[in-house]
Amino acid sequence: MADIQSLKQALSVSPDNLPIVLMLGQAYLEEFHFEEARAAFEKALQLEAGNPVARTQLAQILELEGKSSEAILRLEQLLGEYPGHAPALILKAKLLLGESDGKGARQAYNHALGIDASLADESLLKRIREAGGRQAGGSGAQRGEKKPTAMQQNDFQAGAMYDSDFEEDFGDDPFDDDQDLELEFEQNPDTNFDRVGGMEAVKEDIRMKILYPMENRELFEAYGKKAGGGVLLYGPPGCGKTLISRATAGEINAKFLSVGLHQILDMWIGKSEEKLHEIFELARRNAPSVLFFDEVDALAADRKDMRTSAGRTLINQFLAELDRESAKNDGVLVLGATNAPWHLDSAFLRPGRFDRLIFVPPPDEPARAEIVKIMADGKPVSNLDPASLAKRLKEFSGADIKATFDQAIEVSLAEAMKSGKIVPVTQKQLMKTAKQVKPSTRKWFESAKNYALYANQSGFYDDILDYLGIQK
Amino acid sequence: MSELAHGLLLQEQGRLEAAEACFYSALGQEPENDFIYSRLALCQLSQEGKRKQALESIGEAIRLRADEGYYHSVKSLILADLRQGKEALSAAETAIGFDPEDALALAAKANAYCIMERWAETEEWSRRALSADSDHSLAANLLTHALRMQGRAEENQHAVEQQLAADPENSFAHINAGWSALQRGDHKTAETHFREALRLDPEAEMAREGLIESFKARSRFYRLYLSYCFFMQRFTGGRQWMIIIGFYVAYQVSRNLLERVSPILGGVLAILWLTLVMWIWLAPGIGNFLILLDSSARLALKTSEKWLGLAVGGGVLVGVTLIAGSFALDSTPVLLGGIGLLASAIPASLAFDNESARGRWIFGSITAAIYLLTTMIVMIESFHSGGEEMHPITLSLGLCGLIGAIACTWLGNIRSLRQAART
Repeated sequence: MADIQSLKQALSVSPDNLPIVLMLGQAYLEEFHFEEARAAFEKALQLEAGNPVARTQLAQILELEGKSSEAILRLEQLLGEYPGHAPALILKAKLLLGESDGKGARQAYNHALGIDASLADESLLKRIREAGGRQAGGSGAQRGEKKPTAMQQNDFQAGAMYDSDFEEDFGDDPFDDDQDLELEFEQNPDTNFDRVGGMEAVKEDIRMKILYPMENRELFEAYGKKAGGGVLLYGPPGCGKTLISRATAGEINAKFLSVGLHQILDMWIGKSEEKLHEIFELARRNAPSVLFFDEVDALAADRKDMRTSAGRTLINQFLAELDRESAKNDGVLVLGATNAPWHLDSAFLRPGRFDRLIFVPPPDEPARAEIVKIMADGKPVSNLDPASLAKRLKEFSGADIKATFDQAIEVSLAEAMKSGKIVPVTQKQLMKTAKQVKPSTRKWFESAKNYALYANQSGFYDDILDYLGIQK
Repeated sequence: MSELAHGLLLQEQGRLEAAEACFYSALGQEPENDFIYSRLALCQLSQEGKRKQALESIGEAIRLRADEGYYHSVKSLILADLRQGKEALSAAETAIGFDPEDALALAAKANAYCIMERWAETEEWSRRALSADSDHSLAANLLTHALRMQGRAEENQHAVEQQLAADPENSFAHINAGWSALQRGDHKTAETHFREALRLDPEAEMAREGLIESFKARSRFYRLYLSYCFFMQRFTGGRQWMIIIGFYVAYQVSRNLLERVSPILGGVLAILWLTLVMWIWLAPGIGNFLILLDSSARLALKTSEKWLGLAVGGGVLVGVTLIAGSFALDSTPVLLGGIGLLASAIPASLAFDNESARGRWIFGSITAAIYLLTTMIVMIESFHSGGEEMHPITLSLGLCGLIGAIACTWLGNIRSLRQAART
């Protein structure tokens, strides 16, 4: 965005230039100069009555001033006249989310994406889902879904997208879900490696261990190697294992199914195993797909530690699902993420199962800068310099960066409550807060170092030693 | 899945924080369920800094069902972990009152005695627990520990071998075997057992500490220091003080007697005594310094242990070099600098790898003060032109530094300045 001074100069030459007026209003808004921004957008309305951009931004100002109800009212009026104005729909989704209306927010969000897919916002979608805004509708199977074509099952090659019939099965909606399992399929996730800042070493590792084998399937088979199968991502918590998994699915144009522990475990004997089987079947039906198990160590724990047979049966079921004949699991890439790979039963690390390990270290500087931008998005932050803040946040995980923002916001909020006005979070405040937050990854590395030093007979944890600069 | 079942599964997998959250959630639904409180207590007991919460949780379980002996046994184990030996003993006796043949209750009583450093009783009650359940691992560990602490090496070795034969994949059995070997002076076998214990459980802190000791024990002089430690471990805190005072009195009497015969002999004894005292305090730090020189072994050291090695071992090395160099250079400032560094090594040996925050603060401050005094003395003497005579301020400052260093050799025997308060 051009700076305010140059925009004002431009306006002095061409005072009725609507785009410049809108840009000036936007520049003021980014600096939290609400009165000036309001004046600019009102001037835009004088130049073009009913301009939807100006009206959306005026509603945005109301939201930032804490007048959510008035903002929603104005948006409703605007959308009555311009039902296809996607930015207004996104803003509406945010406002409804603020009022804990997850379903309404999801509806507005989907509507906006249907009009302009470039407005997709992962963090907003995540918050909507957490607020109960899961996609309505039955599972693919329940809706008489067609079986995928051979191409879909086997072809993970870059550029090989779904054919039109396949698209029709799922409609325009970018998401599909299975309500019985409380799962949500993210079809063809819009996240790919380009959208993940930094983490170049991890991306390259994934290319070598996952993507290239899939793109050169026949070549690999000629050497007796199989593409697909299972890959285990491990590293400290909050460092992007889920994000990189979703991006991997995006890279291979596959559907992404994220499975949490709570979606499998059931108090009834045998039910958990049944659920696990159904999840694998669902992934097989929807191949090409990426089945992502978060906290996989909870499902694949070392059987030596298990005192009850129920836990062991679930582990055996998991092993059996991974061991299905290659044809059945063809097109299904199983990704597991864990903070504690050492708690996995060694049987899971044998060939054909999670036989490739990828270490996901704390985010590097570019990745931290990206996280900073995401954290600042939609919050009253001024003079933000993500690159210099990222330097200060060395060793921080995503969760630690969030904690930094939360603490800085609390300080600004306290001041805002005293003054009755929005007090933006400044770069200086964030830098100061970063000194107070201790990176949580250090504790993880303390444990990981012990495993890498003393229980690394097979060399599984060599990446940790490399990261720590230890030569054994 | 119910929160309780989920919590139990997570607890079984060692995901204690997550399990704890599930138990709290389950208690929200069933606030009068004593079983959930007992599981919560076990969960908290295994997490650092949550022992007092564990005690509260088991207290709730007992409030809801006071006639369950198991809960009293758990309470005893928690109290023992909080180093409240008498209370732990009382809780264990209550548990035994409900079932005199319960192995856990008997082991809890042995454990309480162990905390009180009453080794004979520890042995007696762990043997009783083992007669009730020959596979009881806590009782087996306590028995080997008690035998080792009583200096009964052969019996200890036999008990350890039995333990290892019963379960060769038991990390704790290997730790016991390692300490047993170390006590016999067999540092190579000790190292093998500690490495095996770490392979089985890389987070076993006792195994890591044992491994470091086995590295240090490669030195004959360090093995002598270990023998002194093993000897002193046999006694309770009060008796240890009596022995130390006894040694000191014996030294003073001997020195006086020898000085009457020959002042040189008295001086030799004084130097020997001083060397012995210095060695007892400086051996761990010097050992760490030597480990730092080994690229493989130093990986086992924590940051604080590396600092200890540098401050003590480095201090002694540079100090001795300066003292030796001062004679060649005929330089008083260099000599005083060397003595100052040697003196600083005593408080430094207690300043870095000390569990007690108060202890770290006190000994750290004394170390810093001696560094400062030494710097001042060296500067004063460098600019002082009084010939052979030292500046009067030098003498005063030097005396302060030496008193600080000597005081540490006594203060360092106070347990509360070396052990952290359990929470």
